[in-house]
Amino acid sequence: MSGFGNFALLLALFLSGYAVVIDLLGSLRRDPGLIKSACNATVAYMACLSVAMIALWVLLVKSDFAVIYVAEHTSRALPFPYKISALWAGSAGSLLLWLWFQAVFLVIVYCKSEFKHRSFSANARMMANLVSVFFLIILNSDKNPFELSKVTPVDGAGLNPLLQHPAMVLHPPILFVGYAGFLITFAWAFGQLKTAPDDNSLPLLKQAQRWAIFAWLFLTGGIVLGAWWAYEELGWGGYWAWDPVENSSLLPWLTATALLHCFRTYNRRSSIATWTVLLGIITFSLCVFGRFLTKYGLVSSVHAFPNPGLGILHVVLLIHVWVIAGALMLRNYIRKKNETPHAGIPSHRFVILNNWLLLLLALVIFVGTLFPFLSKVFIKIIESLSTQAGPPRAPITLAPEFFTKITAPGGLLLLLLIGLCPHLLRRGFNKSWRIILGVIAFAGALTIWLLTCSLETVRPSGISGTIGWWGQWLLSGSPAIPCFILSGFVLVNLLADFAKKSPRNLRWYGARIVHLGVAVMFIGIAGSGGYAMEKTAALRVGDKTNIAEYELTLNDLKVEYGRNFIAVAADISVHKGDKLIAKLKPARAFYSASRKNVSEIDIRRTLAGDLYLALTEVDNSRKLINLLIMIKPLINWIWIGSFVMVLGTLAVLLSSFKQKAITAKEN
Amino acid sequence: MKIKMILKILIGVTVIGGGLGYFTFQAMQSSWSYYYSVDEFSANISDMNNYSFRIAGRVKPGSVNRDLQKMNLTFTLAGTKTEIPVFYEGTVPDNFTEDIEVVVEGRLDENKSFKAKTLMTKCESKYKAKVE
Amino acid sequence: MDYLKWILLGVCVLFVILPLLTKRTDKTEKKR
Repeated sequence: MSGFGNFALLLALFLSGYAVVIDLLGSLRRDPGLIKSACNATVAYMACLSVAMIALWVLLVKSDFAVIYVAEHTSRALPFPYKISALWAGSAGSLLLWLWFQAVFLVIVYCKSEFKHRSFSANARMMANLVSVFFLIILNSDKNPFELSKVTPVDGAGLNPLLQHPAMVLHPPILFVGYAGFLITFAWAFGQLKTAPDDNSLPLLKQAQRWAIFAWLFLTGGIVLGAWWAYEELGWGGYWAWDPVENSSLLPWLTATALLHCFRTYNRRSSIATWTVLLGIITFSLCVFGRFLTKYGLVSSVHAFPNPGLGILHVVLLIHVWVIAGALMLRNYIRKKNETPHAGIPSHRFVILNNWLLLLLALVIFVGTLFPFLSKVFIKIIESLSTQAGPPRAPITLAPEFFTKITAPGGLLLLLLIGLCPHLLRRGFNKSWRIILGVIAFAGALTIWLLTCSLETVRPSGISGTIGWWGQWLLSGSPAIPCFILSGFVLVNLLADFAKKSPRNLRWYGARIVHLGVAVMFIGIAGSGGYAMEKTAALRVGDKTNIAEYELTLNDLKVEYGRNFIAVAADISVHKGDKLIAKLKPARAFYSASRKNVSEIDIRRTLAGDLYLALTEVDNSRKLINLLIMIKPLINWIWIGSFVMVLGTLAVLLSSFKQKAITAKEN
Repeated sequence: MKIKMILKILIGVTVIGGGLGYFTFQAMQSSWSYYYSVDEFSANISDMNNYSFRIAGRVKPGSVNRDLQKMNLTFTLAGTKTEIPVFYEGTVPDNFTEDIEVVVEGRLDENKSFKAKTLMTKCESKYKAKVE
Repeated sequence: MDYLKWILLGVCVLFVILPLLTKRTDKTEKKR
């Protein structure tokens, strides 16, 4: 079976290589037979990848530990669902899954036999298959899931208990659907570059737009799922650490957001068209680069597994892609020099502003993530040029604070843009500034009043305490305040929109709901980031500790003996004044065999915020614990906001499909 | 006319670029730390007082001392030839134990012992790690 | 497992070669 899987992968490599060459030949010679053959080859290698996946699944389910991948990610005792999800638990299998999604999407979109779009499809497929060729080279050699080990182990290593969680099972495939979906806009961009666009290409554009929305939906979902798992499972009370692995999923998300707005205002004669093509290529390039970053340890972090292997192929692929893109863009520019430029519609100005903002944010995060690597290179250059001694020369890493310092203002600017655009578009600046200021002031006051009522966890009681606290809050200079005000501004705008009698359809609602979700998310981020409280306490049974307005009492420490673990559970009651408001049971389990500790947090969740408890230490006598207590105001609005974003996106996607059905009927 | 436009764009780009650059640089200044291995750090130890560092090494078996009452941790971070004593106050990652690779971030104090404000362990599975 | 490999190879090759063998009676591509 592993031999068969191996063979399927090898065949896929040859077929995809064939497809690239034949598509090229076919479009140069305008030969429909060749083009159809390349199209079939694409379908064929998609089938081979499916076969390979099934083969790998069979090996995983049968626990064939002769295969290294199976031994590394499963064990005999592993529950069945996790043997299935083990397919994407390791980098070889996850590459296979990603590639399979890509192939399936490619076949669905660009392997139809419509005559009209044959040469466009050939050009699109060519570049998409080039990507597949590179990935398949890696899959067949460096990261081959079917590689056999010399000695068959008796049992496999199993899956880290932290990863045995539904969110962690779903997180990779959801992200991969997103990454693979952006291949379509990538392919479309190259089709646009090579084939001169004309009026026939509108359905292709709409199709690429639909796929961009679809991919963005999944990428957003995947990122939020990862953040939520980190918060629930990892026990440090945070949901985003600006780690290179996390950043590599955020970067394409930022450029894809810009891409979506470009599609929305697309006009093939204006500069937006160039932006759209560029962003389509950039977004997918970031997906590929992100994979390179996470799986090949370019940046020394706690995730690094310095194992160069054939990782360099990712970079080679990207170089190919950009050289080809550059050449095509140059060619088009020379051809178009004589045409009169299009004036562009007013909304283009804002979309371009949005593009620049998101692109710059992505650039800074990109550079910040790569800083250790870049500083290493920089140091080597400096060292080879000078011989002086000086400040210590070592690679520089940037703490998470760097990223927060940059993205906080960046986020505020984005929020401002969301709020301002409708006004400025409708009436222009001169007529709107009074309205804008008025709405901001109103929104600010409203938001602050509402939050005062809800931030009970952080607000002290008593009048003088409250005034003092308000003063402190307002003067703290924390970016949270402007964030609340701007989010309020956006929310008030949207509510006003809903109240007006403007034309409404599903897409109109969807777009507004997405931005609503964004504003809500920002409120959650600002609240939990700006006003969180943290305390660690050493407690024995009977001890009490205080945080904000709460008093926590450790009532009991229970020891539980399991088959392969010993767990200590703390029984903690939370009082506010005299009232008992919660009983929480954070626990800590020690697995004897693997000598691992796993912390089970407990949370009291309310809309106003979370009270988060984690048992960080238990001493040997099991009578003394260290308890990490965190208050995270408004954090649940992050999850609520992202859910709203997903709903809005679904509405937009649905309306796009409705539109497609309507135009199909008309033709 | 055209020169005016180019001039406008140039000024705009310089202002925005300069602003962004300065702002980014400021952010960097406060949050960067040099990354060393234990031996590299020990070799330069006389220069080290004013900077924030990350040091990668191994937890020396037998050197771990946890005080749950005072909530701190001391251990010896070992390189291949040299060692550094580390003092850490904060949450200890779940998988911290003897003889594993860790990265500490912090500063050197007057007694030449390293005061860590962050402690990171390497994640065994090829997956997201826990970061303190 | 050898026969499975042959089947896979055969099916794919056939599918790919087919368009090259059928007579090219399609209208030629419009010049772009």
